[in-house]
Amino acid sequence: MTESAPTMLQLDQVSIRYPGSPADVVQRVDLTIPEGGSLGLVGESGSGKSTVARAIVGLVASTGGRIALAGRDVTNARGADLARVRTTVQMVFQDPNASLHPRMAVGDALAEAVSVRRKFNGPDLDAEIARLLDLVGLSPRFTDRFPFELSGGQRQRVAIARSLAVEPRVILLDEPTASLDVSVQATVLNLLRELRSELGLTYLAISHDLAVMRYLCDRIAVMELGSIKEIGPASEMFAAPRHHYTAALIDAVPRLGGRSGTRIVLRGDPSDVADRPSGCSFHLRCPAGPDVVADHERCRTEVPELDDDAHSVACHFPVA
Amino acid sequence: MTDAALEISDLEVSFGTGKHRTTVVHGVSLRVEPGEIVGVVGESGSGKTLTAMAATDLLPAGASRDASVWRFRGIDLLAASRSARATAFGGKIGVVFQDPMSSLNPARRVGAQLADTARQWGRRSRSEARDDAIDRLRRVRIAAPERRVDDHPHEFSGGMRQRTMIAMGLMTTPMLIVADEPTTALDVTVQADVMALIAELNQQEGTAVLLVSHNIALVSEVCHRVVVMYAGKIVEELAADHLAEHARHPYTRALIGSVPTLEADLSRPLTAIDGVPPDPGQLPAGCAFAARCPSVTDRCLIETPVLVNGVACWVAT
Amino acid sequence: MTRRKRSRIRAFAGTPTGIAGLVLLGVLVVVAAIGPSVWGDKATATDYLHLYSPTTGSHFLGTDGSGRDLFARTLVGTRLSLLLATGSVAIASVLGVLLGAGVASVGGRVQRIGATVIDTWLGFPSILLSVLVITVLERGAGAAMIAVGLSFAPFFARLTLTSAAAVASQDFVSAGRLLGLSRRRLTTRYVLSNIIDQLVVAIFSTFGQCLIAISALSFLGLGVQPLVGAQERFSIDWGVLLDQGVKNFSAAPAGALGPAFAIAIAGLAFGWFGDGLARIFNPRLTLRRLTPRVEPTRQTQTESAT
Repeated sequence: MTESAPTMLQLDQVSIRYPGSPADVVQRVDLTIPEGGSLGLVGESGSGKSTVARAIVGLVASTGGRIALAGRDVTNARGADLARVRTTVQMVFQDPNASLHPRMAVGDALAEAVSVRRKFNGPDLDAEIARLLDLVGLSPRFTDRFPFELSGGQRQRVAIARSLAVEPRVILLDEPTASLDVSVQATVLNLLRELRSELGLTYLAISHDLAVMRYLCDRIAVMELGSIKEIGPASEMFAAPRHHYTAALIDAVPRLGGRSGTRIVLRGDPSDVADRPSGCSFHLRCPAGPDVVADHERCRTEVPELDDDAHSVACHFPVA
Repeated sequence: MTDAALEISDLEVSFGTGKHRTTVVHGVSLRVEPGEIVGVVGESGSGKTLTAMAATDLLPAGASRDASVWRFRGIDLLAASRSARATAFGGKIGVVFQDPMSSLNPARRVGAQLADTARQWGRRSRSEARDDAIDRLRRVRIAAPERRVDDHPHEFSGGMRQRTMIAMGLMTTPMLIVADEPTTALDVTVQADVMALIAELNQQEGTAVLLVSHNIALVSEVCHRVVVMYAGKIVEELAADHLAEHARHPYTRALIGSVPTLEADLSRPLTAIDGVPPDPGQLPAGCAFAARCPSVTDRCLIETPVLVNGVACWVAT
Repeated sequence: MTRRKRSRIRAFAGTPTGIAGLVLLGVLVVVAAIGPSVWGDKATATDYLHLYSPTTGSHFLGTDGSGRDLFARTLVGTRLSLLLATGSVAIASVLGVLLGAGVASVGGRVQRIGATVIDTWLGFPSILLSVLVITVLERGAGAAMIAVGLSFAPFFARLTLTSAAAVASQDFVSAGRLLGLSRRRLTTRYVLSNIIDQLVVAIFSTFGQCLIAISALSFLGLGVQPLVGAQERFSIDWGVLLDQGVKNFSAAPAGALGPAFAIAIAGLAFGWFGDGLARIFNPRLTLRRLTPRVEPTRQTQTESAT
């Protein structure tokens, strides 16, 4: 994407705290995606990545900061504003098994989605449904099928078709292939790449699998325990990760024929936001943390800030 | 020749009886040597799980098994009664399932569940069994096992539960660990951790492992040998380090090509396997993969290929 | 659409219990319709020579304290019993489902308050509630029907609320919200349509319990009030018959068994019919195009060996 493309989605110091929760699950997150761009939000479960996506479409409320869509402030939008957000942004969920109405035939589900924004008469509606199915590589005979009659990959295609029905400009992809077999994942990833270039869509993709992100995104943001630890162009990130957490995530991707060299071991399990470690939230698990490297004591006390760079990292002692 | 850890030949698994009988695993032969890690790879519905479950006497209700040879540590299981099979497997096999949330009893403490196994098969006293449980939890890298042993499963993360299932297998001295998609529900970092633990146990204790997964890259990282299944049959069997370069079956190659890697050329799409697998209960004539195969020939549509020299394909050489 | 309509009928017809329920229900409705005119005279004719008679050739179920034929009274009682039970089930289910769905579709604090109200109502002893209702209304069959309806309503409200909450937390409801669908449409087309079969089963299986509850009120003198003369035949119901029969059980056991059997048959007929009816709302059961999934869900194993 060229730098000059107008900003499509912007998050400015967004924080989110669930009612009754003792701590923010998302802490002062900044993100910018230009029109037609594709940003990958990467992290383990509990990192807050899905919560960010849900806040953008108003499924959860943000408790601080500002969310702007195509230059318009849509933070915690209500009423007509929210309706506009939802015809601009759509979401594809992780498990197509749960994200499709189990008792609605494919055609009915698409017809409902199409009719939200545009009015069609009978034959035109049928043609529009056929067009949407064709976009995701399904034939019109799927119209009268129910979700339980489809394979996992076909269901996810239907879910993608439904999200396209309102002609959105931004699509949030929440682990779009995590519940699919590897062979099916490939076809869905290819489809998502094609759709983006064909329709000029803007993507915000969420995954814990960096290899998947590499296929879908041109920029990557790595989240850990509610805040962004590293953000930059995908190619640079994979070639030379600067945060130890990013390096560990990249290292964890299975490699065909085994890995060369030793594995980066993260000590312990991910921490909990309710019990966020002081200083750098990653310091307890970090292979370059104060428990491993003697003079890295400041990681315990001082919260690292993102340095202001095209490829930015929040770490006191980044990977060399 | 020493006895295999687990051996089953000409396995058929069917559901239903009489007119409604459908066979979904067709003539699969599987052998796991002591100390060997064997991976079984395939898509959902390929019969990989049923094969592993049939070989370890864990078939779900309604499924029936038929085989010509079935041995565990040299003990013939075909003629054995259900209870004799349970004794043969008892304490010698560990099982790790896909869903860490439902594989432990939520109402009982973790330590008590581990101790059950030791008391049943290792004839240990209550306090000895508890000490064993703490020791095994430490072995699978659960921090502060003395404290954690009294936790309930809901206090454990997904990765900790899968490690606990492995610890449960280790309460006695298992010959074989069967892991069915043990990391599918886990984060990649935790997945790497669990796989490293499995590989480490294999190296240090000589435990054989039967690993079932849909992810061929994951399997290739830890396994010695890989068995590729498609529509209820084995289509290829090869050493794991031959996967990347020497896979011969078009299906195996397509599976490999479909894995997104950190090195692949981004300007090209991933290899997609178009279409869906046939229902293993109603296989077409000829090769089951023919309809999706890029190198299909006329022969493939008529004659069913058999497994010769590790590959079941008329085209592969 | 015709494909679906036809397959729905097939789904209902495919269950032996659904068909049996439909047949039984048909018989009951016919008996209820013709009962008072066909057996009314026999049911109200007194015979002071045969009081509390056991089963004889002319009195299949014996007679009551006024020598009236209990078999005829049981048949005649079908109409009032079915009307009262149907009425109370209708009141309970309409009120309960509307309340439950309403509470489920609002969020936050209002929902918590609504849930508490339903739970308190559910915990309130139903007989006490019925007595309160009948005190307010005029004593009689109609009041009993309303009272029983009101005491069963929170059961349906709670069921609707719990099932709806489980469905509402699923991603497809979020997906519907993201499409901008109205709250009403989400509640009806998305949530209720996924729990309708559970509700239908629950509603139809409550029928027998409502009959018993009404008879309990009649027993206390708060329910059906016996009329005299030509109207008497319209004031016979199974609950009153059952209570009288139980009182005279040692003298004429058949008198209690008759209405008890009738209540059981009616309960079964509604229950079975409900099971069959529920199936037509579930496309998974109406469409049988695909063979069952090849790898079924495995049972959970907590032991390391079996």
